[in-house]
Amino acid sequence: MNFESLNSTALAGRRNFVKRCALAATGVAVAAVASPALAVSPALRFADIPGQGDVKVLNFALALEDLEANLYSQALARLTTGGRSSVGATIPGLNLPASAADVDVIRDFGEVEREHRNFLRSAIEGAGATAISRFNYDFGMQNRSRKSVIQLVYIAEKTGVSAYLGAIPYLKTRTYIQTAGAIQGTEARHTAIIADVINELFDDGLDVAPRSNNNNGIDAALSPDMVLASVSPFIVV
Amino acid sequence: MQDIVNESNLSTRRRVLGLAAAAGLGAAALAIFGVPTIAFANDEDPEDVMPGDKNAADAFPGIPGRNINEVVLNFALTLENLEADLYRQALNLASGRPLTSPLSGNPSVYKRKASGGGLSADDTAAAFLYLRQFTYVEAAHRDFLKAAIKAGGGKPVVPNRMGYHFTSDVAPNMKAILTAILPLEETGVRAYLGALPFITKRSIAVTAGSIFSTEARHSAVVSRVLGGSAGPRKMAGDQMVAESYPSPNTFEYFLQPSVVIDRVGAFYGE
Repeated sequence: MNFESLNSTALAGRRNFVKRCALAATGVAVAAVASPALAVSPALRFADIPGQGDVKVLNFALALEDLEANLYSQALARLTTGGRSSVGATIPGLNLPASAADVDVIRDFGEVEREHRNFLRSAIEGAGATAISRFNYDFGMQNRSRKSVIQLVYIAEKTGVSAYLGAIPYLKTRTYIQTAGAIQGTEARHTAIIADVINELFDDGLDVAPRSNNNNGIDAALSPDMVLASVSPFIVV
Repeated sequence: MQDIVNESNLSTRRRVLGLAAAAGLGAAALAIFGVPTIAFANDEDPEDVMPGDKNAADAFPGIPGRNINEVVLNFALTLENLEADLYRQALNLASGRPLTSPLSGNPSVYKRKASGGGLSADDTAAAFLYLRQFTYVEAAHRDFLKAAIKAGGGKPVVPNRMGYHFTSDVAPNMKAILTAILPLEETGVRAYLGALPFITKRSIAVTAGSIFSTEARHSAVVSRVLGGSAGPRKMAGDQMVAESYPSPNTFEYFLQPSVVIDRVGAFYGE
């Protein structure tokens, strides 16, 4: 597979949708991926997520948590001693110490995201349904600067917060709404702390939470289709 | 690579400069990182109303409303009235202004007078800037909820007539002030999550969730400035969404509305 495969007319509509959403939500991240060797997925749609009703929503959440868990593990490898991406690319390590603020939070939050992933997978399988298959991801990690690593993690967490909000209306069981909320809240904590760490390390000026003049000071929802289009460029097919 | 490695030596906290720059670069940062809000324009648009329990309002003793959704919004407003007012007082205290001063329309009139109380210089500056930001955010939450209730034809609850006070005297230093604020934020997080399953309109559930996660952000940042972790950490009375949590910070905790109502009473002036 290569970029040529994306040029087919059939995929044009989806590709444009990816482009629009990717630019909106993850523009920096997508632009920073230098010449990936593998083709990215055409934009997944909510309709492509397996299962019906609540299972579909849980699988949507699982797909995001799987991506986040994978991203955190690649990010930690990049910042520290290096490793391999899930598509086999060698990621040279930047050899930062464990005490560095970004390494510290990426290690801790990565563990939480793995727990979210495992929890959702067991919940789906425990209900007798089939969990969505794992994807492979190319975050261009081997080429990322220290700053670009944590910026991508920030965007992923921020997208996660909006994704859970956008998924609430699709959940039929109200206790699932509460459980989804319990995950969303931790993603919000991660987003805020990562913004604070970026500000601290790189003299940046990110808001740790929506300001009073931004959407009434509250987080914004993103529809499942928009979320999937945003993350699809990182999924390798 | 060498440059990148050298960056790790700059472990001094430069967050303050970043925050100062936020005022000037806010628009640029938004343009780069902003996630747009969009409507649920989708073929699979769900019905907005979920089945509910007739007696659900009983779980919110003393909170008025013509239906459960209005009760939940008034419950939220009860909390935001309190948070907004205590933040206003905290900001006045940190700025050396009388506690009774109303919130100014101009955030820049607030300048830090309070000492760090043991926080580093950078954390002290960050503490003040976050306090000032969050004060306006809580006021925005309050106004937003009030408007939402009115727009639905309901009657918003009014703030406690005798005002609000912190449960103990707060020293005029940033550490003491944020330490007094943190339990309010953490209780707010748990209150919203506890109220979430009572809501029967999906659009209102999204709104409640949107406020909930900003309270979680505030809690995390206040905790970090005070030298703690992002959380959540289990507190007395906390309930869990699963039988057990893999680790204490995997999922948020919640409180039943009646417990929250009982607890916020401690902040009411009489």
